[in-house]
Amino acid sequence: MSREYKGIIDKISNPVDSTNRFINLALNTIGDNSQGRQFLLESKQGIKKTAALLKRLNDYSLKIEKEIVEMSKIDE
Amino acid sequence: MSKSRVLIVSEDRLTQKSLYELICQHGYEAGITHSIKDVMAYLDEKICHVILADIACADDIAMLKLIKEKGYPSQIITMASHSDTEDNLSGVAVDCLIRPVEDKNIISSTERALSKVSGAEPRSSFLKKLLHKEDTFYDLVGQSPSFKEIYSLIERISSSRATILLRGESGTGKRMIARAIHKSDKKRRDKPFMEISCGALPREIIESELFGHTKGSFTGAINERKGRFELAHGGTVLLDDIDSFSLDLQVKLLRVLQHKEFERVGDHKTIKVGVRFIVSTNQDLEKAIADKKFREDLYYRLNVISITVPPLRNRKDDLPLLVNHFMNLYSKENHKKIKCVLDDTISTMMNYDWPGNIRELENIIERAVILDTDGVIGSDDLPELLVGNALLPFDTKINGNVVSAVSLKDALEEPERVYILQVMEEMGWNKKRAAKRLGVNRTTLYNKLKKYNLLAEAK
Repeated sequence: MSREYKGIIDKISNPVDSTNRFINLALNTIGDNSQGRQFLLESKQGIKKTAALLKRLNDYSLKIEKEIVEMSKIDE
Repeated sequence: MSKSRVLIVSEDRLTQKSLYELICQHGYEAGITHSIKDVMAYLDEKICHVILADIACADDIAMLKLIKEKGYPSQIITMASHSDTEDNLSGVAVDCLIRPVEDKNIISSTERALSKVSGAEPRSSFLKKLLHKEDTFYDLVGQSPSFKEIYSLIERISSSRATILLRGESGTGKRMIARAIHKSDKKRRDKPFMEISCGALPREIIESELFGHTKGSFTGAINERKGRFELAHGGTVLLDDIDSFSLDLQVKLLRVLQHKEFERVGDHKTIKVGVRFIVSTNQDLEKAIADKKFREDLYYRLNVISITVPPLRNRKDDLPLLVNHFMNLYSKENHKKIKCVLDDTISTMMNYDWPGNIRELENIIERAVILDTDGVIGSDDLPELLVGNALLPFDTKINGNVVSAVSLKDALEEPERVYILQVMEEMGWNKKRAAKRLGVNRTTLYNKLKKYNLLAEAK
C-alpha cells in the first residue's frame, strides 16, 4: 500500500512541480496589471493546494511504512 | 571563462522543459538527458559543472554514485518526491531537494554547487543584476550613479506641482523620465498623461491642438473641440521639443504655466486646468535666448526644476541592463527565444560611443534579435559599424588606411557616414524610415546626407 502511494506521488509530483515552475516563468514575463496575471495567480493557488495534498499523502505513506517496519520487528 | 553548464536529467518532459527555461533564464547554459544512464555519455563529450537529477528509483541513486566514483568534475543536485532518498545520497549530492521545490531553492543550490567547482562562472554577471527588481524605477532602466540621482530627484519632486525641464541629447530617454515622474505622482498616475511633440505639429494647427477651439472659429472648425491641455485635466502634459514653439505661442504658454488658465481659439471663456507640465528639449535654451528665439521669462518659468539626462556614453555601466531590457522586449515582440548575449558583444558595445544614445541601442538590439538565428546574440548580430569601428583609438584604420591622431570629430564622422549609408540602403533610401531607425528627425538626416554628399545617391 505504501509503495502504491509512493508511485502515485511520484507520478503526480513532477507535473505539479513543473506546472508551478511554468506559472512562475509566465508571471515573470507578464504585465503587472494584466488580467492574465490574475488568472495565473489563481492557477498558482490551485497548484499550491494540490502540492499540499501530495505532501499529506507522502507523510501518510511514510507513516504506514514506519508502522509496517515496527510491526515486522515485533513479529520477529 | 566559459559559461557554467547545468545538465538536467529527467524522464519527465514537463520537468525537463520547465527546468531548462528556469536555468537559462538565470544565465546558465543548460543541457538535457532523459535518464541517468545517458549522463556518462554526455559527460564524456561535454564539460558540465552541475548535474540536476530527478530521482525516480534506487537504480538512479546507484548510477549517481557511479558517476561520482568515476571522478567527473561535476557537482550533483538531486530532486525527489520522498525524503528517504536523502540518506542514500550523502557524500554524492551537494543538495537533495524534495518536491515541491521552489525555483529560488533550485537556483541557490545550483550556485552553491558551482561555488565548489573550479573554473565555473557563477552566472552571466549582468543577468545576475537583473534578478533584482530594484533595477527598474517606474520602467526606467539604469543603476549608474547619475541615474540613481535622477531617481532620487523624481521621488522628491513627484508630489509637487512645479514645472520640470528635461534636458539632454536626442534619444537619452527624456520621455521615459517624464512618464516616470507621472507614474510616481500618486495623485496624477491614474489621470491622463498627454504627450505633445511640439516640433511635429504644424504651426497652423498647434494652437488649436493645445487650447482647443469653438465651432466656426476658423475655416474648417466645424465642431467645438477640446484642446490637449483640457483633455489632460488632473494629469500631466509633456511638451516635447519646447524650443520649437514660436515666440507668440511662447507668450500664451507662459500664461498657462503661470496661472493654469487659457481660452479656446475663438472663445472668450477662460478655462482653468489642473495639470502638471513637463517640458523637454535637446537644444541649448540659453543660446536660443541669446539668439532671440526663446523668451527669457518663459525660460525662467520652465527652469524651476531642471533634470539633465546623461547621454549613454556617460552611463555605460547601465549598458548591460539596457541590452537585456531591450532583448527581452524584442524577443517577446518577435516571438524569438534569445538565450543569452555573449560577453564579447557587451564588450564591443561598451567600446562604442553611442551618438544616437538609447534609441540607437534599442534599434541595434531590435535588429540583432530579428536577424539572430542561433538564440545567442554575438558580435555577428551587430551592425558592422559597431564591430569594426567601435570607439576608434588614437592610431586606427579608416577604410583600410592607418590614420594617426585624428581629431575626435573626424574620427566619428567616417563611422557615422558608413552607418547612415548602411541604414539608408537597408531602408531602400526611404528617408522617413531611415530617420526613424537612426533615431533622428528627417531634417537632421537630410543635413547629414548633405554633409556626407549622399544626397545624390538618395535621389
